[in-house]
Amino acid sequence: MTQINLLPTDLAPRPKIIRASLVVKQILTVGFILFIILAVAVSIFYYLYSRDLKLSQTKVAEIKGNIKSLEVTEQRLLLVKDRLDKAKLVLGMDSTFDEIEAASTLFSSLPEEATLSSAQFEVDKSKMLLTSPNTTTLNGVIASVISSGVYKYVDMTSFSFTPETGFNVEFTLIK
Amino acid sequence: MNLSKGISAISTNARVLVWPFILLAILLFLFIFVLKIGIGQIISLREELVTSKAEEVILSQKLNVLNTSQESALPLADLSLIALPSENPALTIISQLKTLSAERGITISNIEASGGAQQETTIINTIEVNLTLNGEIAPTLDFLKTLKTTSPLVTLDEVKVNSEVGLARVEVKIFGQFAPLPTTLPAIASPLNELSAEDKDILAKISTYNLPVFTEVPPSGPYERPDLFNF
Repeated sequence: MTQINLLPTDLAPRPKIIRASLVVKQILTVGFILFIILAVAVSIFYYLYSRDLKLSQTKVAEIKGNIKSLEVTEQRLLLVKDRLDKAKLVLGMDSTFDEIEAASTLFSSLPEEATLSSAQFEVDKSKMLLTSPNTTTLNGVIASVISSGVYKYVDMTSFSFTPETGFNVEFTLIK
Repeated sequence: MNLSKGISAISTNARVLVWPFILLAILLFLFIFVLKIGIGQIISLREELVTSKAEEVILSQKLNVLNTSQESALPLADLSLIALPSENPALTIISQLKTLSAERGITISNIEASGGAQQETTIINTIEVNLTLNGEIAPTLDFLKTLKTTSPLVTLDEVKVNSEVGLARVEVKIFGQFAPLPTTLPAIASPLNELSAEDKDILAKISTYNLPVFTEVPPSGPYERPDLFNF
């Protein structure tokens, strides 16, 4: 069927304008569809995240309540950790225990007649004055000190003899 | 005539375009609004959710640690507190020295404790105990070795031995340590780890140490007061 435009041609919009209007309308249609999709997606995400957050916050509050009821245990556990951290420092402090243990090992291997006249134990070294009544014991003392394997450095710092006590040998010993 | 025709043509063209452009502007505004507000909200919610989930994990772990160590916490706390007391341990150390020396037949002729002022700036406070021992050399050395495995923890400093006719006079300097207890609990959401393997090793070691003997004094009273007027 033939379409007849009865409007005067000067009152009708120009064809370019009509085309532009149609393009804009098409953009609007697509835009609104996209907008609705976007709005729905945003709403769904918003709902899901809100729900998850609420659940998570409820769970957090519940766990916090449980932790609160175990506060005494927490205090004790923290105390243990605190003590152990500090005990580590104390156990790592310089001490003469190793020197005493070494001296005890050496002392047990000395000949029976040898005596420890004096000794001084410090953190990094020991000094011992050993007395032997005769040369046989003296040999035994020196052999024990050397062969004990406890000390890295053995320094004989003095050697003397008195008729009353016998041979006095002083060692400086470093582990 | 031509001018009025022109104006009429413009208004006709404009009428065709105005509404679509107004709607386009509204659509753009809505897009911007949804993008800015909606997506901004979602991002913020997501961040909150991630934080909350992370907190949930930390707290669950903490609760788990607390539940598993609920029974063992008290004995461990006692043990570690004896090893490293919170207050000056001079009396406990002296008591231990006396007990251990008596077990080995060694006499203590002099014992002195000094220092021990608690300083807030230092992590560990120290007291000095000087003692003079009299006895045979072998048990004396054994006694000194035993101090290494004694609670409260001590460190041995200088030791001087003078021996005559089999009897030794030994001057010993010992340091005892103590440290104040933590005063505050960390935030409830802060993580709490289990004891590390090293911690457990130290605890196992400390648990074998000689513990001091504490006597418990029973509480006295309150007793019922006698009625003075009823003979």
